Amino acid sequence: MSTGLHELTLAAASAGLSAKQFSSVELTRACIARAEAVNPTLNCFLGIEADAALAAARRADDMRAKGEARGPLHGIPLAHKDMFYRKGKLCTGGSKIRGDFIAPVDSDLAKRMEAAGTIWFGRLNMSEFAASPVGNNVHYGPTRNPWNPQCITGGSSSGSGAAVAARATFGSIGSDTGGSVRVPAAACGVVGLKTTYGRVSRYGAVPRSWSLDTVGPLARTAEDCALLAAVIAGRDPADPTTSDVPVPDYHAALGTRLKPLRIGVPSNFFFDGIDPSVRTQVDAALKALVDIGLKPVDVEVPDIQRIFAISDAVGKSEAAAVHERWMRERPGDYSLFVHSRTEAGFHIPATAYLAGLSLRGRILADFMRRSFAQADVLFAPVLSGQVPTLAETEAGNVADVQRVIFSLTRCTRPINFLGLPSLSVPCGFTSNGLPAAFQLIGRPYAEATLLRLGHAYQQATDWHLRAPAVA
Amino acid sequence: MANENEASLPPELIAQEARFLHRMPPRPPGRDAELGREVERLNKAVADAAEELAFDDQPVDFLALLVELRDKDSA
Repeated sequence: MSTGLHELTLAAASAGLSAKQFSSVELTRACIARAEAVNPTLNCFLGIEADAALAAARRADDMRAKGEARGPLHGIPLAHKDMFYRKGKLCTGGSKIRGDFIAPVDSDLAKRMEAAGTIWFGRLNMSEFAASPVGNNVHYGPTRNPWNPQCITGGSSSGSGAAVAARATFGSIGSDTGGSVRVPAAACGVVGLKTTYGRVSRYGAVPRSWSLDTVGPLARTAEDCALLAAVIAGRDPADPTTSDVPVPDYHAALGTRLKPLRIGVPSNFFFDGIDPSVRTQVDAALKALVDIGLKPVDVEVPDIQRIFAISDAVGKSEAAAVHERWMRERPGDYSLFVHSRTEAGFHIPATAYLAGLSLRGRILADFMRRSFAQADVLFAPVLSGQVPTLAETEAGNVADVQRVIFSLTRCTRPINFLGLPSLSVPCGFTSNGLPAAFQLIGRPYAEATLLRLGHAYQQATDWHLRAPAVA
Repeated sequence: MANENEASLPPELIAQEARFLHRMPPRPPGRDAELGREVERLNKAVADAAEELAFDDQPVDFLALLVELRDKDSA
């Protein structure tokens, strides 16, 4: 009865539960079985909570039978990046330092997922302390890409990207400080939404950089991301950066008629040095978007490398502040990679950090004036290069590693500094057989527009229907 | 722009000083210099950009600006 249920999209699973075609228990069993089957190959789960999940699924089924279903995600099993607190439960943040940390409170995410009736059935692997876009983890082992286990998943939401692509969870919530939702989504061939800064609460989420951290969903389709975004978006008094801006009905917005939007294609930076194989796929995606009614316009974006550097200075300063005590007292419990990436933050003067933050609003206003004057959304690759192998990301010294990081996040990190939303959408495969992806970057709080465009693209193409042959 | 005296300080000295300030353990040979160069690059990027700031510029409320510039059709 349960065979194949894990292959449904989140939207289809939701519809099936509503129509009583199957139960939450059956759905949860299917996901757990799939997770257990793929995990020896992919190492995407740090923990599978089978007994607790099945008990929760039984309660969800009982509630539904009494007409008490809490919404579209009621009874849906999901697994999330292991960085969101659930009171009384283990939350490692992908680290050795917090290898036995029991969360003292519920994160906003945990509260919202509970209120929506979802089943939290697993903790997903991630980069240590969400500090790397590569996705490797020396403490728990690297997550492996479902399309080729010799390749990286991207990070830091590495387990989320791999588990969603492998059909082991219908969706997953990750975090994005410099690309940590979009990069693994792109590398694993799934959709990832980096939300506007302030759209989703970070309360109870392991921090990396307070000014840059955002929380967002990964799923197989834009429609599934819309369902997840509806649960997690909104004001949270416990996170004062969250906004009162009303949360639209993201799912309902998918079906609205597409206005003749202008899609801005940057003439500088984003396509510089792009791998020809990536370029072919991204160009084809742009053509598909034009075919469904978008009008392409050339735009010149402000100095992105400068934004990247300022973002780096702010992010490293805040990460150093977060980790100072542990880095002093337990330096050996960090991987060399994360330690090296973080320690530069101790050397950035407070004046430079504050100047960087002071420039942020000015840079955003300038970016909006210059890049969005002629365009409603921007179009860019997520990764300029093909997805590398694990071996390629583990070789060399600190400087070599820094170059890998730069190459993986050069198109994503600046968007975090600007606070803008961005949707990563898979658009085919490069010559090494790994996924390629484009991103749609929107005005602040344009999540509904981005999801609607992503959905329209996926209605016109079938890349999201391809499944990796794993386990 | 940093003045010439500051720019002439060896990067590893700046890195060492910051390490002592934060009471961090010793680093492998060469790492202080490497960090110093990285920080010098980041500081220069910020300093160059900060030249645009006027003496009496008030900090912008970034969160409010995001709301002000929002996509009104979407949100």
